[in-house]
Amino acid sequence: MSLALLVALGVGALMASGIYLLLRARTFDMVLGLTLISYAVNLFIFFMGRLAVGKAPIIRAGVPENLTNYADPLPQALVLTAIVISFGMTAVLLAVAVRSYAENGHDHVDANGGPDVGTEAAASAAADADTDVPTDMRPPTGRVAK
Amino acid sequence: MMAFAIQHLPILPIAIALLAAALTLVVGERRLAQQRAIVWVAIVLMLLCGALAVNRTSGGQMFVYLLSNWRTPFGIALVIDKLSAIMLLLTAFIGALVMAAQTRGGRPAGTYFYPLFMLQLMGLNGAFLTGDLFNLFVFFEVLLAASYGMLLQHADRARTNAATHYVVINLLGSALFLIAAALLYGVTGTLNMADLSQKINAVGPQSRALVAAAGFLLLVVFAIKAALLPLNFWLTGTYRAATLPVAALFALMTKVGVVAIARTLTLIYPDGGVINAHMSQALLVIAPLTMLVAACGALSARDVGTLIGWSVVGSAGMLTTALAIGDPKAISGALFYLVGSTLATALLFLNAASLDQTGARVATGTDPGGRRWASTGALFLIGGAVMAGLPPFSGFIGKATILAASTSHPAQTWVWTAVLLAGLLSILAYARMGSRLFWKRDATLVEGASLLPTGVLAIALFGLTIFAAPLQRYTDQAAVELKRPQIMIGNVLGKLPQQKPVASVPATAVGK
Repeated sequence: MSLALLVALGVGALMASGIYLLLRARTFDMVLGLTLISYAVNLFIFFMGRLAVGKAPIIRAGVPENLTNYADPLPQALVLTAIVISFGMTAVLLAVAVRSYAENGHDHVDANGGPDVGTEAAASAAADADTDVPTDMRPPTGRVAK
Repeated sequence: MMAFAIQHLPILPIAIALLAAALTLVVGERRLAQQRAIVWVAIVLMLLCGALAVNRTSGGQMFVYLLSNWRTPFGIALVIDKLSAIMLLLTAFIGALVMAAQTRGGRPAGTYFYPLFMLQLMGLNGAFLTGDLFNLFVFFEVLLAASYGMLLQHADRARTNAATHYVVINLLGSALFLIAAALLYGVTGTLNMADLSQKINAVGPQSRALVAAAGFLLLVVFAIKAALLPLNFWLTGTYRAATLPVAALFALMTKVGVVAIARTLTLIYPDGGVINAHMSQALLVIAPLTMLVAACGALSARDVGTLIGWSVVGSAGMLTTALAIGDPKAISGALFYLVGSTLATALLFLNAASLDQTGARVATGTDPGGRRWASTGALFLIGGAVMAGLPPFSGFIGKATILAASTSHPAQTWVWTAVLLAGLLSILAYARMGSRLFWKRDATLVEGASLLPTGVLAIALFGLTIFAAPLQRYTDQAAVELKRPQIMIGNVLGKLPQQKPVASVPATAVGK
């Protein structure tokens, strides 16, 4: 029971932090928030196969095939799929976030939140926000096929 | 050949699209002609598959396909019933027209357009076909991933911002979907929709709340996809940001959400359960409200893309209202409306691609191409009439069927008010936009846009009215089939794996 409580609190803490970060409405926080949410979700899927300690989902000869002797292998397969997909989607999201920063000059999710690109105000705002990031970090735009 | 096609029919639309996507990548980005040839072959094959599926299912057949020959509750099953058959055909048809609009335009809408396009079709086909909840999630991700790629083509500032919102809300939706699927697996031990339907019925009182929570989470996820009221604000921005032929394809994506809601309400949580009743009640509030808000949004739209986007939201509200009413006649009307409104949305988006609203207004009289203006305006009128549900178009037939079916429903007054008011407001919105665009000429015509795909769509819309009876017979049967989940459950769970030749199975392989 205490293990279940620990696990539930862990998933809950991850999810809560994820939602908090997501509501901060800045692209980097958003990426982190969605990553935390996907961790929480992956753990949740995994634990939906019930908590099992010291039980491998590999069939041994002579041991009856039921869930008292083995861990449920299906959530483990599901979570693998979910991890791969969320990993790929995080990569897409990062690309979008970098692009958004390059286009808007600041990392607020709503473009309307800051001054327009190209104006002096935008340039100084971007410079104030982060002096380490070069202003020309715009990723290469897609090749247009001839 | 035919026997092979029939035996493997459910996997073919997915496999063909995946193969074509891979082949276009192998051929390479520079050989556009070869890429186009591959895509065209794939689309023609998909059209044939769709036609075959509709033909066979109208005879009462249902296809169940066991992936890797696993027994049903354990492996993934693909199912073609009447609903998925007609969606397959519709997807292939819209795909062909988007492709035709692309090909005529010379250049594709962006880098790697063709592989992304094929993957999008694969995701759509898969989402319509699958009978497994987790597999549905995977196909959602496939079609979303492809749509992210297509949306970010030629991204300028506005597009990037719209894409950010779109990606984030869909990632959040995916997380909720996974939670719902995991909850259902944790309680029932299965992910097969037909099996879920039975197991949920047999769930003990201590797990009832969990099952209900999972069901409503699913509903939230599908409402994001279908753009129902509190979750629809991503749609107009995204559709405006997409290049218009791509937006025509996106019109199918909200329908994925609607079909998933249909499966939830008819198969996973079928009629007669407490959860189904609660879901229907909630949707009967949300969906008509969605229609009304969408109609107001359409009235406030300042450009064509936004107007059509709000119409898409409105049609999703209409469809969900009918699904929530739950009467077979209402569902039949919804399916009819679904076909018509999807075609009309595609028509409007493809037609709008030949209008440019960014430039300064052209002075009336000096503008050449009067005949092109006339045809573009006529096509806009047809599309608008279908979306607003005016006779003699298919939108009217669907809408009238839904209204007639709701007469005995307790929420009749509310549904009628919402549907009729929303219809009136959309007529106003389309009339206003049409007179601004085509009489005041508040736009310029884009050179070189083809009339072929939009013309074909207009003919198809007329065809839907003229040949309404056969289609309505089909949707009637489809609705009856949906309302009797036992048919699908029996077919899916009764499907046996193909027997291997006994000699080839070693005795030790049969685990004991």
